[in-house]
Order: sequence, then C-alpha cells, then structure tokens
Amino acid sequence: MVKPCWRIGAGMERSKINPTKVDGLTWYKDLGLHTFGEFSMAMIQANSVMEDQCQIESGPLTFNNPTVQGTFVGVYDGHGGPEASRFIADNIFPKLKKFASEGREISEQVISKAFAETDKDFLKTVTKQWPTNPQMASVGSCCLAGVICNGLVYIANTGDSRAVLGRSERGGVRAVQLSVEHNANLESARQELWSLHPNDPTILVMKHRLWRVKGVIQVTRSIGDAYLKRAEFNREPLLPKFRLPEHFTKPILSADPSVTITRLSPQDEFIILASDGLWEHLSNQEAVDIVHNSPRQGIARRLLKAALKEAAKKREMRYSDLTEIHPGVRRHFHDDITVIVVYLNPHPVKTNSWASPLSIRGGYPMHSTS
Amino acid sequence: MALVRSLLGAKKILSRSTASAAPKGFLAVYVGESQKKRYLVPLSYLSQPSFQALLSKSEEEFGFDHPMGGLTIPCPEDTFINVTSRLQ
Repeated sequence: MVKPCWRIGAGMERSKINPTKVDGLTWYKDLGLHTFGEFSMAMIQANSVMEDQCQIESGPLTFNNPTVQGTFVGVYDGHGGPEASRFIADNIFPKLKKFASEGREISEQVISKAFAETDKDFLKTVTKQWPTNPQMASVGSCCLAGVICNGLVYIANTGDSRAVLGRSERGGVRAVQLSVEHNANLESARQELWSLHPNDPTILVMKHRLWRVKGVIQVTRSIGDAYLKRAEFNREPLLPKFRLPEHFTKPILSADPSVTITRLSPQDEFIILASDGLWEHLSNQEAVDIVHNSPRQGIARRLLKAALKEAAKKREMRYSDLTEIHPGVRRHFHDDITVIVVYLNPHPVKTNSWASPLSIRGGYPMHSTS
Repeated sequence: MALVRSLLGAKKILSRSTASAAPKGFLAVYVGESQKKRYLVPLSYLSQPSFQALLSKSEEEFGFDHPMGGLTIPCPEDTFINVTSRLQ
C-alpha cells in the first residue's frame, strides 16, 4: 500500500523562499519548499568547466498514480568532462518516473533500473559519437540519488558522493551515513573489486599514494567511463593515458547503485547530500552540527563556506584570497562542490496539502574559461 | 633580480609568521625534490602560465592531494627560482 504520510509544515512563509542565483563561481538557492519541508542548495565550481550537476524534483513520482508523491534529489559528480553528469541530470528522473509507473510505486528495483538504463543510454551516446568525439569514452560521473516517499528515504549511490542524515539525540544531533560509497581507497570497495577480478593482479594499483582502479581512477563504480566497461573503446584514438595495456572481457566498473532504505522517524531532522568535494574538508558530524546549529536560510552556502575555509587552511592561505582564484587552477585548492540540505517535516497526512510540483536544476550552465 | 628579492622578502615574512596562514595576497608553496622548502608567493603567480606549468608537474606527481597540505612543487629549488624570477 502506497500512502504518503508526511506533508509540508504549516505556516510556511512564502517570503522566505528564494530564487536560484549565481554569484561568481557559486550557484545557489538559499531556501525552497519540497514535498515534505524546506531545502537549500549550493554549488561551487573549481574545474575550468563545472563537472558537478544537481537537481531536486518534488511532486508526483509516477505518471499514473497521483498518490505517490515525494521528493527526488540528485547529486552528480562528473569526471573527465561534464557530459556524463549533464546526461544524468537530463535523463535519470524521467526514467525513474517511467519505471515507477510500471508498478505504480517506488521501490529499490525501480531506482536501480533507472541507474542501469541511464548508463546504458549514455554508453549508446558514446558509441554514436565515437567517430567524431572519441574522448566521450573517458567521461564518467558519480551518481547519488535520494527519494523520500511514503515515510521512507531511499539512498542510491554509484561512486563516492555521500548522504548523511541528522538525527536528534539528547540535545544534539547525530550524523548517520545513509550512502554506501565506491572508492578504491575504501577497504570494502577494494575487496569487492578483488573478488570480482580474482585473475587480474593489476585491477587495483597504488598511484600518487592513492589506490586507483587499473591505476587510472579512484571510483570503483560509475555512470559512463565506457573505456572501463567495454573493450571496444580500449583503442586509438582514445588518449593513451586512458588505454589499458591488456584486453579485458568483463566490465571493470559497474553502474549498479548501492541502495539503502531508512524508515524516517520524528527524530530525523534533515539529510545532507553532497559530492566528495565537500566531504574531503568536513566530517559527517561537523556538517550535521553546522546544519543543526544554524538558520535554514542559506544553510547549503554556509556548508560550502565551511568547506572552503578548511581548504584555505590546508593550503596555508586566507579564505578571502581563495575566493579570488579562477576556475581551472582553482582545482589545485578544492574540487567542484555540490551540497543539498533537505529538511524533513514529520507531520500526519492531510489530503491535498502538497506543495506545488517543483523542478530545479543546478550547475549548468556555469562559468567557462574556454 | 627584483623578483628574486621579492621571493626573499616573502621568506622574511615567513620567518615572522607561523605556518597557520599566509599574509593577505600570499600563499605557501613547498618546493624541492626530497627536502621541501616553504616559500610564500603572491597570489598573482597562479594566473601565470609558467607557474601553472609547475603546478601541472605537481599534479602529475601528487594528483590534487598535496602531502604537506600546502601546494607542493616537486622540482629542484633553482628551477623554481628561475621560473618565478621571470614573473611580473
């Protein structure tokens, strides 16, 4: 039985809800309303072309069952170029709705199918473009998707972005990580790859003091990265640094998401979804404490700023100087960062009290130095 | 020579400041092959192609994960001085 059981908070002030804005390299929406409460989004560019993308969709999650209402949140951290993350932002939500319509509900299978078909379609695009744009075979993206529906939160993750829940506990708030990550520098991800490729002694190689799959990439699952999925792309004119010395038959990377399902309780206050650019500077608990102790308005930008202050400290410079650095060279100081904070509002159902459907896309187009 | 002096001047600033934060408009870089020496350089260097080339070398060696925290440039010190002394 699919029955939404949360509604937006009463007495929401419309005046607090802000438009999306761009300020230099920062894109943000300080406060908005999704099906079950408020949200805040912010992104900052470091690469010469912004490779992160994100979106939030709120309203019906199927085409044929109006009672299945919810919120979809996506964070897509691209690498090798912006094409894969943009492709995901264009395609994954309509696919999720299509598969959800078949069974008239949201499920783990529906979400996994949306990931699989997004990857398959992106690889079709790579094949089509191979004669004119072979470098598309080395473009990929992490994909983190959260679906809040029917009192449950589904977190599906391919790659190394992260979702963290803030759960109130004894006067404070505790960080509960909801996502499972796929990065070769995690023991679990290495064990998985070694067991899948027992006869390949170079499946994982330590390079630049970090583990990398085949010595080239840190993520162990992704959307795209066709050169590590199909041997037909492992040849000229793909750049030599992406070509593997030996032939392979089995895909090296997979697009399968790890999915967790959590039943929300009244203690669950918010979820932070962010690309690894944020988490390399802030711990789960630091991020959750900032959100718990600050006003909702502009909270995503506040998290960005906290991460950038840490980045400046590591590089032994002032935060104000860091903010002056141009994209491209800026990647030496921090990565592209995307952060979305979704507040959860546990109230009983009141029929026909939905927030109006919402669709927001962040990260494209942004500043380009080319 | 003026630019070498500015580097030396920067080092003087370093001797007065702790490793916490560089003075406004400067950042720390660690230069050298085995032994790394800390220099403070003006932010304007970051937009110079020859300095960016040094950073690309560092990217080849470390990726973006610099072992000292601060930017690390794994070239001989005299190469670094040679490059930066030509910068405006």
